Amino acid sequence: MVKKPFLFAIITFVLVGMLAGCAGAPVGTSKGQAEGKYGGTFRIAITESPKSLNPVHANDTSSMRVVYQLFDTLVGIDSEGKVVPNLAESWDISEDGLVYTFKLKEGVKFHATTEGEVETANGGREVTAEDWVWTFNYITDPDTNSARAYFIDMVKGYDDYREGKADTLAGVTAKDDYILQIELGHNFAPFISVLAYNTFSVLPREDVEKWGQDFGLHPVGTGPFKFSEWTQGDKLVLSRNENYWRSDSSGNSLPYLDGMELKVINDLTMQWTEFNLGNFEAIEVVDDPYYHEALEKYPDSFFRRPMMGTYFYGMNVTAKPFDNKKVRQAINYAIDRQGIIDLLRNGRATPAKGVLPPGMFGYNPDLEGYTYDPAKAKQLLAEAEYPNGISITLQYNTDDIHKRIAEAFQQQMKEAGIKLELKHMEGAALFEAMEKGEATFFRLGWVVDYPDPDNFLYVLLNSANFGPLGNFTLYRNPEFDRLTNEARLETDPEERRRMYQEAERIAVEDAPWLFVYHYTTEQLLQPYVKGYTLPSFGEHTARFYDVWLDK
Amino acid sequence: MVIYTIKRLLAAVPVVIGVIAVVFILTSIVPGDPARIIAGKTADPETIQRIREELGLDRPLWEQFTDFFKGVLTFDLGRSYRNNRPVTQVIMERLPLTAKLAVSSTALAVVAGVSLGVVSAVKKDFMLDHGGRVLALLGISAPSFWIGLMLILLFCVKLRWIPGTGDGGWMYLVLPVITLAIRPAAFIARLTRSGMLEVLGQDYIRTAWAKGLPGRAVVLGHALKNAMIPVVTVAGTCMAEMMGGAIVVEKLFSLPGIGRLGLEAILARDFPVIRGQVLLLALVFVAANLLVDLTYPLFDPRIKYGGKGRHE
Repeated sequence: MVKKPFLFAIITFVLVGMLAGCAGAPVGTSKGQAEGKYGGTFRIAITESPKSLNPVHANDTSSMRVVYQLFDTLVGIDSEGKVVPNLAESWDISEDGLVYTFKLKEGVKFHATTEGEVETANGGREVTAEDWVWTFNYITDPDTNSARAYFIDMVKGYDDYREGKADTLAGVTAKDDYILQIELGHNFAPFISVLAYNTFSVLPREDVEKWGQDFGLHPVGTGPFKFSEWTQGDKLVLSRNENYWRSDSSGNSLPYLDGMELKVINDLTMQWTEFNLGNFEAIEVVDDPYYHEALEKYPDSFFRRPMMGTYFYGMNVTAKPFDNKKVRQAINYAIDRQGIIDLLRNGRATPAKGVLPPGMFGYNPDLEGYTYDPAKAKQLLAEAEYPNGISITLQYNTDDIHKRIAEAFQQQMKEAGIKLELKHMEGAALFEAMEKGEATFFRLGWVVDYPDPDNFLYVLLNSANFGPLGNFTLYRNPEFDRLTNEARLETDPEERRRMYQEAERIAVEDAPWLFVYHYTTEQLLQPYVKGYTLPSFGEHTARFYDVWLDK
Repeated sequence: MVIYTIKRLLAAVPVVIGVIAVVFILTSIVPGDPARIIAGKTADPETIQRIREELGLDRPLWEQFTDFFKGVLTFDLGRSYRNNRPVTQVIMERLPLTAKLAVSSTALAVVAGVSLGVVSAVKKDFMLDHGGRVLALLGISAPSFWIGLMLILLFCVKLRWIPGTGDGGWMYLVLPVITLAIRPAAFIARLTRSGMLEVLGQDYIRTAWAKGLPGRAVVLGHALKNAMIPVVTVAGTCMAEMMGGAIVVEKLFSLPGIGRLGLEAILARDFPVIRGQVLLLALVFVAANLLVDLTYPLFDPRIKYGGKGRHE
C-alpha cells in the first residue's frame, strides 16, 4: 500500500519539477519497475578511497558508501528522511521516552564467507539481541576510540563505562534472543534517528576479535554484499550475499546484483569520460562543465533532489568586527545567493534563508531570511559604526568551486562597502585555524548525520558545543540555548517543531553565519540501471539491495 | 670503483638522515592534526585526545624521531595513521606500478629524444631539423595533463583503441607512459642536438669522415657516444623524479602509484607514510645519482673512478 504522505511527496515533487520548467527533473526514484533481473556487477567511479570499512570508524562519505552495503543498522532512513524498520522489525518507546524496546527480525545472518570463499569466524550464524549488546559495548568502549560513540552518550551508564567505573554499558540489554532494550539516562528525542547512523551497525564479535584493529580491512556484516577484495587507492570489490535477509515483493531473494565494484577516479573529467565510454554504471560527481550535457544525454537516469545539508560561512562572534550583530546582518544582505547558484552552480542548490534545509523536520518555509540588498548592508554597517565599510578575510578550504563562489562574493560585497580578502588553505589546516580562533570568517558545509534539526541547531550553534564538537562560531544566545536544549528532551513532535522554528528564527536574526545555500544530491546512472532510489540523505547513503541492471 | 661506490654510499647516510629530520620538523609545524582528521568533521575532545595518544602524537618529537630511525634499521617504518597498515607494505604495493611507469617512460624518452636529436643535428637547418625543433619546443611547453587529456580523447574516446584508464594491464599503461615521456624526450632531443652539433664539428669526426667511414659509424659510433653524457644525467634525474610519483599523470589516468599515495598521505596528515615515502625518495635520488656517475666512464674514458688519478 502506498502511504498517503509518500504519495503526496511524489505529487509535490512532480509539480515542483514541472513548475521549475525542466522536463522530467528533478527525479528522486526509479522504483515501481517490474521485478528485477539477476546478475551483473554495478561499477561506480568514486572520488576518494574509503578510510575504514569498520562502521565504528567510518565517518567520511567514501567509507559510508561501502559500509551501507556491508552492514545493517537497527533502523533505516527512507528516501524521504523518515525512520523505518531495518534489522529491528518494530519498536516501542516508553511513555517517558527513556526506554526503547526493539523487536528484532528473526533469521538475519552474518556473512558466512568473505574475500572469496574464506569462511568467516562467525560461520554465518544468526544475529541475536546479544550481538547488539556486544556491539554497543564495543562501540562505546574507550579503547575502540570510535569518534562517533558520543552520539549515544545519553544511553544509561555511558559515562560510568567510559570512565572505567562499570564493566559494561548498563543501558543496553537483551531481554531474549529477539528483544533488545536500550535505556537512556535522559530523554533525547532524536535518539531513534541517531541509530540509523552507520556507526551503529551490528558486528560479529568473533570476526571483530579475530581481526582486531584490522577489522576495517576485513569487514564482515549482515548487508546485501560481502567484502571481496580491496586494492588500496584503486579498487574495492563486493560480492553478493547469498544469505541476505531481505527478499523482493514476490519473495525472490535479494540482492539482484552479483556484486559491486568501486573504483577510485580522482579526476572528475575522467569520471565523466569513462562513464560515457560505458565503463561505469554510475559516477560519484558530475562536474559543473558537464552538467547540462548530462541532463540532455541521460534525462531519465540523472537523479537530483534537495539534500539535508547547508553551505555557509561561519563568523567568530567574539572577534571584531563580527562581534557586532549588525555587521553580521550586513554581510548577509551583501550577497546575491540565487545569482551565484545560477551563475556558478548551474542552479544545483537552493538559496539558504536559514540554517535548516528543505525536507528536514522543522524546516520553516515562511522564514524571511536575508535578501540581496547592498544599500541595506551599507546602512547596517553605518549603524554599527563602520560608515567607511569593513575589511575582512575569508578562509576557505582549497577547492575550485569554493574559490569561484568566494570570488563572486568578493565582487558583490564591494558594493556594500565590504572589502573581502580571500585566503585558501587545506581542509585540515582550516579546521586548526578555526579551532585556534585564527580564522574568524570561514567556509563550512554541513550534511546531517541524522535527520533531525538537533543535528543542525544544537550541534552547530548551541554554546555547549564550542570547538570540535561543532560550534566553531562560538555563538551563544541563552534563549537559543534554552530552546535547543529543551527540544532535545521534548517528545511531542509539534512542540519540538515550534521550538526549533523559534530557535532558528533567533539564529537567523543573530546571524552567526553567512547563510549561503542548501545542497542538492545527485546520482548519474546508466539508463539500464533500475530500482535505484536517491536518498535525501545524500547519494553516499544509498543501499543497493534492490538495484538491478536491465541489459 | 668499488671504494668510490662505498664512499659515495657512506656520504649518503647523513643526507638521508638530514632529509628525514627536515620532514619531521615540517610535519610537526604544518597545521592540521592527524587525530582531528581521523575523528571527522566533529568529535568530542576526549576521543581526539585518545586518538592522539594511540598514534603516539603526544610523545616528544625527538622520541618519535629516534624511534623512527630504530625502525628504519629493522625495515619497520611504522603503521599508517589512516588504516593501521604497515608503511612498508603500503609503499611496496604502490611501488611496482610507479617503477613500471618510470622505467618505461624514461626508456621511451631516451630512445625518442636521442633519435630526434640525432636527426636534427645531422640534418641541421633542413626541414627535418626545423620540424624536430618545433616538436621539442611543443613537448617542453605543453603541460602533461593537457597532453594526457588529448591522448585520452583521441585513443579512448574517438578511436576506441584503448578501453579506458586505470591499472588494468600493459594496454592501460601506453598512454600514461607516452604522456610522461614527452617532456623528457623533448628535453633530451634538444640536449642531444646541441651536443651532437658540437661534437660533429670537432677534428676527430672530420678525421673519421676523411677515413671514409660510413655515415652511420661516424654519427652513432663516434659522435653520439660523446654527446651522451648530459643525456644520461638528465635521464637519471628524470627517472628518479618519476619514482617519486607523477602525481598529475597518476591522477588523470587513475593509476594507484606512489604519487597519489603521497598526495593522500599529505591530505590525511598520515605522517608515517609521508616519512616512509620521503625516505624512499631520498634513497632513489642517491642511487640514481650514483648510477649516473658510475656510467660516465662508459661514454667518456677520460673519466675514471678510484684509479691512480685522472687522465685529463
